[in-house]
Amino acid sequence: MLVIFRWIRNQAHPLLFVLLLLSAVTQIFRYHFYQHSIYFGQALGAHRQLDQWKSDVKAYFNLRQVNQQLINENTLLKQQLNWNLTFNSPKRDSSYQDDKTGNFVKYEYIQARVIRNSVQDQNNFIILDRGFKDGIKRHMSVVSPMGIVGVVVESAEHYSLVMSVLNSKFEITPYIYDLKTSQGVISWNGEDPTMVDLEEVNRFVKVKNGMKLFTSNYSLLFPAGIPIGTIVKSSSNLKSNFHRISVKLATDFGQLDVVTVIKNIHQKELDVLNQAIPADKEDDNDRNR
Amino acid sequence: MIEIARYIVSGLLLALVQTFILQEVNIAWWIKPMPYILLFLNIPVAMNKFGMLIGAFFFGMTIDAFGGSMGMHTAACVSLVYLKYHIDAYFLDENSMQLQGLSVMHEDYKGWQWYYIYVFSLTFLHHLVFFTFDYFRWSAFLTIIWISLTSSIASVFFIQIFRLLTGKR
Repeated sequence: MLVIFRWIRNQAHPLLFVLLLLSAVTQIFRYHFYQHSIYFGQALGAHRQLDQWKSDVKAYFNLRQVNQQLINENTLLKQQLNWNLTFNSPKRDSSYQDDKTGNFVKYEYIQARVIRNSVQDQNNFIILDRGFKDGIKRHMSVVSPMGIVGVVVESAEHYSLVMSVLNSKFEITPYIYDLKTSQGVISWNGEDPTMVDLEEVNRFVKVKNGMKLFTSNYSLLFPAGIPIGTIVKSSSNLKSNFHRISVKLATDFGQLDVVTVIKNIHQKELDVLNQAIPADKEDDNDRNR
Repeated sequence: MIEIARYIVSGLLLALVQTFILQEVNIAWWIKPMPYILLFLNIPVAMNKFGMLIGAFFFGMTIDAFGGSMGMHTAACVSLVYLKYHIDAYFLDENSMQLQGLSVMHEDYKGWQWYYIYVFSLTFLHHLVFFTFDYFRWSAFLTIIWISLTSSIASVFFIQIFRLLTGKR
């Protein structure tokens, strides 16, 4: 310690000089744009490559976080979109206007992450990392950026169970966009997780390969216009009144990660109306969801 | 004490002349005289070296504040004073100067050639530091040398005029 003090005392003059010079140079770089830009241009040039590597590595580790941010942003944007309403309902109808915000809202979107998923079983279920604490309840529909995923059948506090499209109990009526009609029932036969069957389409409907299927506006759960899949094979014979159609699913269930749970904010009214339907028609109603 | 006050006043005057006259008069782009270093040449060699450094810092700051060139004159002045201390210690002999009754470098000390070499080299060092910070790029190296040389000659010329005006012989 004493040595350091002695050295400082001996070298006080050069040290003071360096100190004052540094303070002057600092002023130069702070107040003169030209010198500032040249100095930092040169100094950064030497470290630019290093910084690039560092940034690359950092970006890799931040990917998940960035993903999350994008998901949040997407959810927010969906909430703000005007076609939040189904496309057949009268847009900007005042009865759909939110009293507080003035927005036209029918659906709310809750983003969730798939933490368990299966495609092998006969009845596949998905588990999400969100539960009723986040507002997820039974009979809410689940979609992914690719297309439909399933319907919430049970929700715990932090997790919820979703019945996947790849489930023998799952049925939905598609809207065939090119024919402007809603017909038939989509169900999974339990074999190929990329394909579903479309049954009960009238033989006189001119179905072609490549036609796109969307959720229909008759569905009580799904908003209309969400992709279901594409027709890849259709056949009919005279013995039957119906086509036999194979549909390639829009959603790749092997890649599910982030999904959106859609909440119909008028679900309670729909439930009440649903219960008013006489018991003998319950079957029909279930099928058409 | 009265000596120090005299230096402060003359420093202020030189700063005013520098910022209000010499910086405003555009002689040529390669002639930017800075004769205010006469102040440092006038201060006795035996002066406190720390006080000189700090004084030079604030003197440079004053000129910078007047002229709006924050830091550049300060850096040049501080460098000049630091180098001058070492040059004085190497070239000037205090004892023989005292015998001649001198406290600063003078033509009488070792003849006018020595005097001009001394003044010119100090001026050149000061200008070199200043223009290095002014241009501040490697490609302007020759320009910095050239403008330092020409401006030093102009500065020495102005220094001699000031010395004649103030009657210092």
